[in-house]
Amino acid sequence: MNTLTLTELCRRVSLPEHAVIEIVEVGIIEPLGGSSTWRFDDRTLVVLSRAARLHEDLHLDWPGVALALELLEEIGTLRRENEQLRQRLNRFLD
Amino acid sequence: MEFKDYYQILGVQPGADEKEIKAAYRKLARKYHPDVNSDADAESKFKEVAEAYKVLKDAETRAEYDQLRQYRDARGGFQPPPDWHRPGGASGAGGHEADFSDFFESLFGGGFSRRGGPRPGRDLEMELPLFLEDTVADTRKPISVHGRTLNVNIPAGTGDNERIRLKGQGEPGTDGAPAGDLYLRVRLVPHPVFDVDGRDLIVTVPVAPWEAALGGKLQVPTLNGRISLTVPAGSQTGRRLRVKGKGLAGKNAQGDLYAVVKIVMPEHISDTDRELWRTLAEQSDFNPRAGWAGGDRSRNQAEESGK
Repeated sequence: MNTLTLTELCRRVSLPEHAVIEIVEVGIIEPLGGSSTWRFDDRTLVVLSRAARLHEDLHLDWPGVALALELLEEIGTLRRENEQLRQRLNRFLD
Repeated sequence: MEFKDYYQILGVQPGADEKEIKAAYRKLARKYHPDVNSDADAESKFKEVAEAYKVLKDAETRAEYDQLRQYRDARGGFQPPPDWHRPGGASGAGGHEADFSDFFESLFGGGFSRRGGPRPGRDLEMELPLFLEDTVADTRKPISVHGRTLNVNIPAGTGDNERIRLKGQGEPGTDGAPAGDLYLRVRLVPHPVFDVDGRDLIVTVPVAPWEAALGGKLQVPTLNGRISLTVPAGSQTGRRLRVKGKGLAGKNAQGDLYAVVKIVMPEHISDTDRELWRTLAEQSDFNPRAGWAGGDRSRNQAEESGK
């Protein structure tokens, strides 16, 4: 697993440091534990890029982005689960 | 060139004020944003809406656009006046570094050019459909990105919703800045025989009523060949029979296969079969509706109507 510093992370997603600090505060991404300075798993980049797009394009504040991401994740999980259960049900109804 | 009616795209009147334009944009952006809406045409709709908003939100560019609107022809075509050149230029860096339409580029291209200096490419994410059979052993799959074909290693046991990272295969950077990464989000393709529950596989096993009653050995498909399965006597529809280790491969542990019994009635029965069923009906004291108040009565009615 590759890790990134706060500065590297900010550069990769073109966000200022104070914005990334707020994003961490609202729980959209989490720094890795076990170190006194922040390090981030590089998978964070996908979440952060998505958060930045929602913030910019939909004019959402960061708590709003956090809620949107959580709900989108949940909708995705429920849709997949619903699809799978429907498929299983159809095998009994066919 | 096709004329883009930005007012129509946002669903507002040409006289709409700033507030109405902003409200219309926000509503449509929420609806079509590609991070929110997974429909195939959502992204192109969002780009259109974002482009319209980019022009109309700024008083100066909106005034220029309004001036140019008069040059559109009746058939929806458009030719900018020969002496047209943009006087000023608002800078615009959006969350979505959109690719704009030809119409936009020809009118506002210069002024809206992206921020100068090296810029790393964006990370991209795309879905990778995988057949269950592809997950049994390490495999390679060709995928097409930006017109190139990449051969991607898929390790055995890759599961639904997992991400595979391809370093430097995202959007190219500008002025020597590094390219972004490409993330592939795995989607297991629905299988004609097996259902997936985490790492476990489920196979629905049709059995004849007498097989369910008397039990027996059946041949059941797995992802790597058929196996022999014992159905215990007296199995109900929905009974789950576990076959250890015959599910999907996992990073740590192998999933199991669950064979789910489904009792199936024959579509056509012979006279002999009918007699056998009748004998059973007369001799058996089984009443599946005994738990209902008046259950016996409904059983008698069923027998009556069968005579």
